[in-house]
Amino acid sequence: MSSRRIGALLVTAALVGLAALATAQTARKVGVSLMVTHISKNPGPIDPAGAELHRRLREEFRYQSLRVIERRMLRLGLQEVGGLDLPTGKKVSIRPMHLGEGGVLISVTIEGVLDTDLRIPSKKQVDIGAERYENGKLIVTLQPDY
Amino acid sequence: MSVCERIELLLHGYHDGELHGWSRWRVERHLAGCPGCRGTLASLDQLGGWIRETVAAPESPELWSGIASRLPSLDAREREPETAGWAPRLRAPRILAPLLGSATVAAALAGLLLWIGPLAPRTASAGMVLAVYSHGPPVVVLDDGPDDIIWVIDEGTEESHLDDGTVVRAGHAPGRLPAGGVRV
Repeated sequence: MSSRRIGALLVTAALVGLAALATAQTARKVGVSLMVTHISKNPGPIDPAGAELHRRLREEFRYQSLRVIERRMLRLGLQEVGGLDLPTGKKVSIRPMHLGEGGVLISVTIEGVLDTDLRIPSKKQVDIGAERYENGKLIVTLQPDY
Repeated sequence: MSVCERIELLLHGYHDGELHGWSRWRVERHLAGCPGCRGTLASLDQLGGWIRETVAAPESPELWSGIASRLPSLDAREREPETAGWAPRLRAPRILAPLLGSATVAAALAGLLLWIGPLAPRTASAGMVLAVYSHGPPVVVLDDGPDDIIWVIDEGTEESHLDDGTVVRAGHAPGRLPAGGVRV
């Protein structure tokens, strides 16, 4: 077999391998937990479902009550968009873009508020104090699980 | 309570490096625009310097001799009359004093470690927030702790006197960053 043919075979094999890898990445699903919480200056209880968030926020921010409004578990493929609606009517959209050693790269858009790119390791979380709502604030918490 | 009074409550912690994230950002933000509070912080620095100088100052050579002359003599203590009767005086063996001393030092060290534990610097975050683009309100990224928090600043609060679209990482001086894919 000539060297030219061998070279062509090697290049083809490499391309096939890369394509297979890309397909595998795209096919893989990433679990992302979304939680919307309301913290308020009005007196009230701390929702046990938001205890972990309360532990993270209480040293930094002043509020009297905390209530978990919605929890949703999404299973998204790479480049697939999912999300939910906030009580204010604005949409939260998330799109996992890449899965790597440092975590999953996720693009988050909160309509009319902000866009952010996050690289979050599995089981770690990022909280976004999004917007004002009923004498308090809406917090969106993301936690991937893959 | 005025803004300066609220910030003053945090100044000691800020001076000692005990504040993180949002609290530290609030103090730094306020100090940038308040000469009065900057003066208070400078006074804390001066006080700390004075204390360090005083502690480090060498003691006078006459200090111990002056103290020793006022202590009761050892001879007087050893001449205490022995109690006659059935109860023998117990004397601590010579080894007990060093053991007690070591135990006390160990307990003090353990107590110190437990005390400073919560004040130890928090583990630095791996920086999960790569980029933030604000559509309008100023945004603060708190990523100097184990968890990352992105906080959109509400209008009408003292922290909202930033230009629209400003994105700030806590601990850094606030300023305008270029729009369209802001790298934090």
